[in-house]
Amino acid sequence: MMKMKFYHLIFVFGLVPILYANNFSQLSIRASIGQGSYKMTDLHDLLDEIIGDYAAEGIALEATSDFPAYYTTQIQLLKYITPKYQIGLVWQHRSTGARLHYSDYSGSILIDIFVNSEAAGFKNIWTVSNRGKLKFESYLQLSGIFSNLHFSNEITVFDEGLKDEFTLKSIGIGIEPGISTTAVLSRLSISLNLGFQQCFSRPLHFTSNKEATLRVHNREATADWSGPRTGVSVGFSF
Amino acid sequence: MNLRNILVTSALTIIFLNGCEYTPTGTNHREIIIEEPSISININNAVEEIYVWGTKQMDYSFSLENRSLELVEFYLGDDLIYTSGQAQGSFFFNSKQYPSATYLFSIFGYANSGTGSLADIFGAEKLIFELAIPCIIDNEPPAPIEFVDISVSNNQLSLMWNKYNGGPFMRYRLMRGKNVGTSYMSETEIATLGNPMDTVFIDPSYLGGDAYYRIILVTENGPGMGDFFHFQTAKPGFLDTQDIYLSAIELRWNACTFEQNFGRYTLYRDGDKIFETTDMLDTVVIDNSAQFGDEIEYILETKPEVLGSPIFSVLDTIEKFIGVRTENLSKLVYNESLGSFYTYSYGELRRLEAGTFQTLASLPIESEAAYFCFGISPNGEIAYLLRFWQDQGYLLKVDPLSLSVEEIFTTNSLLGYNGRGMNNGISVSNTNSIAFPSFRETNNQNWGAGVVLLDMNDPVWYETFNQGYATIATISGDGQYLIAYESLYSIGDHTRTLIANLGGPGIFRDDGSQLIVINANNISVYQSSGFLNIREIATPELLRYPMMDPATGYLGGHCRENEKYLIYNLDSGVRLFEIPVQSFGRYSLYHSNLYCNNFYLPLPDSEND
Repeated sequence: MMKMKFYHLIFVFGLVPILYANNFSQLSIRASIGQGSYKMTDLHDLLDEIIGDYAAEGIALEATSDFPAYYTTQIQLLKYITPKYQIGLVWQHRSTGARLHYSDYSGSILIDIFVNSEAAGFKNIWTVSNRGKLKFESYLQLSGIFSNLHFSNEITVFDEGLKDEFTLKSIGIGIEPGISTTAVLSRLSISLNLGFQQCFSRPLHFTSNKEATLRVHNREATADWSGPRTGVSVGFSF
Repeated sequence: MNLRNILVTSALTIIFLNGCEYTPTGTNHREIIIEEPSISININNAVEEIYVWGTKQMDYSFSLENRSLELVEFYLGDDLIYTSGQAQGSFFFNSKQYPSATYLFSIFGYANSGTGSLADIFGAEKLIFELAIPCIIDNEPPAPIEFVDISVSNNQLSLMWNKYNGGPFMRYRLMRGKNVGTSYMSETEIATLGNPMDTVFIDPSYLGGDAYYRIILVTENGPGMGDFFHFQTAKPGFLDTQDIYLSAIELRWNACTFEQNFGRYTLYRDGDKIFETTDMLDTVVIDNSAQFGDEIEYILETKPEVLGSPIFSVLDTIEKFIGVRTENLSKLVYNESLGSFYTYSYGELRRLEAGTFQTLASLPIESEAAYFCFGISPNGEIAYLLRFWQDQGYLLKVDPLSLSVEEIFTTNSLLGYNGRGMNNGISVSNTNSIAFPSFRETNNQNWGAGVVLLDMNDPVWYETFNQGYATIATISGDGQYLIAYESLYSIGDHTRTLIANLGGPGIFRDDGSQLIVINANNISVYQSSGFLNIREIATPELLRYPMMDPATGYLGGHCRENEKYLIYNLDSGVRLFEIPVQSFGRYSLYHSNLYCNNFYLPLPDSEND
């Protein structure tokens, strides 16, 4: 379920002054939807560790979802500094997750790990060439990443149930170089992009205690969003 | 672009950013097939029941097919007696705190279900198993067991009993008993068998005869005393045999038939061992040291080869004697002319036919037996008796045949004092004279013993021999001579004349024509008239109580030192018989028989005669 979060408000109330300050000239806004694949090495290890622990108890947990590639959404507010160079703000949202499950006649174990992140940063776009209405561009996106991991473990045996859940957070940075092509149709434009984001994150820590971090295989775990990115965006020039 | 559009754009942006939130999906469901568990429970290897006594170690084990036991509880009735978390183990159960009875022994066990399900793994699913089995607590002594068969096969006695099937078996004690008196049984253990499967025993001690067996079943709860079982077969025992010897007794017995068990025969005579052999077929003994005059107790003891307890010996007792047993012929007097015996016993004088001992006449007559005397003349025509009753002495003349009383005198009327006769009897002549030793106690004056000589044709008393002690007084058949105090007298008309001092006891031969004098080492035969010595016969020692058999004329006497009774032919001087006798006893030689007590020994015709 979509929830209004604090940083959404910051984005909205930060965007409005910017637009007014520039009097909307040379500004364009793009909404992009794409797909990202995420490395999530530590969290894969976390799944393996949980499966191994339960297997030692004789319970054959199985990962029915395993941090798959999933949709990403992104809003970009760009301004032409020169005819071939744009710079702007970018806000990106992405999510993925995993599920470990086992059930028989007597009960079930359901472990859901939901992880998402908000990435806010700057995006630089260089127009490499113009071929009529098509522009070929390269870009470099720098962003701060705010990751959330929600873990829930629900065990039900006959009529008795036990649920345990907690949330972890971490911050990091990401750098995403890529290329794109944009078709300009009057004020509207449609772009396709392909890139790769490399992320550097701090360890995931509990919300109640930042010193308490998630450890997997005796090391601090991170939410590693690194991976290739593709997307399609629709822009509007003011 | 107005603010409203900006706000709308912002709202759309937020919706857009959050519009594609990922949700984990998928399930992993496992179908588990639950199979009926196969569980085995073992408690002391019991099948249908548990038998418990005393403090019992209870061993248990559970086979749960890879399941883990969590708890097992053991109940006796409603009482929890033990709990454990081990699938195998043991505990001690003191059954003595419960009365002997049958209880329900229950086991309740709890283990994981073994299905492999989540509930099984998390312990929310259990396998509950239980077992209920009768538990017999028996702390009472066992019921006795009895023999089922006691029999002889292959000359051995086999005892067989029912196997004991109860609890706390320790051993069988096989007892053999022997009656001691009428109400007491002496018993000895002949075997101890520690295996309850041993139910047959061959008794190596049995030799025949009576035997009493019982089994004492010993368990930890005490003994079960079986009843004695009486078993009997023919035993080695004496056979009735007729003596064919004058001086020996033949003993025969039937042989023991239990050859494997036989050890030896031992023969005892009056308590003294006289024979022993290990030859089972050696069953005849001639006892050459037997003596005439009394019965002899012989005991045959047959002993087994093993087991030395006296109760295993088989004893058989027999009373044997030389000669023939007859009634007790006390105070026996014989008269050859009538062929009759006279005897007095139980207040009755009887005349018996010689040879048959048939009673021909009897006379009830009360007398103190010690002072009863009977005498008869050699021709059998005159008989007298002396009785002493209620402190009064009497002399009675009786008919020798019918024993009817013809005359009665008090001794006081004849003798002037209340005299009484002595054991030695009355001597009666054919001329109606009598002589007897007399005892008087009428007053202190003239107190003592003496010899009385009376002519009953004209009874006149005269005191002749008051020498203060008793003696034998014998008057010759013709009435002319008297022997008293080892002296020979001639008898005249109320007179007596000393002829000779004999130096020993003397007896008349025939009617008195000859006189036999017994001295320490010889027999002298004299002619009464003139006291002429006719013959001397040597004897090994003094013949005591010499007696001449009126039927044969043989002289017999008792040699105490040599324990012999010697019989001589006075005419030839030949010793005819040497019969072993005891050193005590009174022997009489009558009618070709030697008498003593209630025995007589028929003497064969002598070849030397």
